[in-house]
Amino acid sequence: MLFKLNPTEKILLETRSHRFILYSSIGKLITLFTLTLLTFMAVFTFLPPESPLQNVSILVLLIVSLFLWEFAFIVWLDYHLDVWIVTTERIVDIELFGLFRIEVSEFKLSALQDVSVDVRGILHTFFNFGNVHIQTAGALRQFVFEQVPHPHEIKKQILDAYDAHTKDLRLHPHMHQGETI
Amino acid sequence: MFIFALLIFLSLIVIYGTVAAAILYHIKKFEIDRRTATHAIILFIGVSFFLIIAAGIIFFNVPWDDILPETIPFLPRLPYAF
Repeated sequence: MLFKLNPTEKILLETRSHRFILYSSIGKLITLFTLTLLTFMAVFTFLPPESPLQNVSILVLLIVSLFLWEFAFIVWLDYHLDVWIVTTERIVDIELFGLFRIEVSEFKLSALQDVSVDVRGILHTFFNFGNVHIQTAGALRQFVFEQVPHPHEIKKQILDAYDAHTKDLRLHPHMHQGETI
Repeated sequence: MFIFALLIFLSLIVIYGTVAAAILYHIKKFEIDRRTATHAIILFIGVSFFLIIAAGIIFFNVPWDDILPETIPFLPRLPYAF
């Protein structure tokens, strides 16, 4: 786990980008592979029979396929490891950049100031996914849940979690040292 | 010329292997659920293995010594540059 839950903390929501984002990236890779295959077929047709370059073109196709296959897994990993988690106490944002940089940021629910939803475009509206912007108090940066499914429900869940947390803060202030409403 | 081609081929496989190792490390480390992780690892290694073996077989069937001097004219003269 990239973050540890406190003993009294519970996960309320765990979300990733909409599957449409994953499928569109995989679709781009499939298009690229199809183009490579078509180029290969064109080259193969124009080469004289028994030409040693035929083997070279097959080799190039295999190597390109190998790297596209690897890239498809990088896309899948990027989709799978970019997670936004809302717990009873905080919001955690885990993001993978490339393969060798992973960023985990979090803030307490008590620092929450504003939540807004941004659904732009035909496909976004049709498949019901978009960005959820979360503004925190002070000079802290804005959190964005990128292209998540059902953004309006997520917004409601975050606000409900905030309400429950502030209520808990008022009732049990000794359990939340250093936190204010 | 065969050695030259072999070096390029092996370099590509090493680059591929490094990234593949990073992918497998991420799948294993970040606790993607066991079933998905197993499927992903089997699929990734299986297809990669097939493609590498196929590429290896094709590679050794290419007459590199005949092709490379014709394709890249400066290559036969390259060793004399040093």
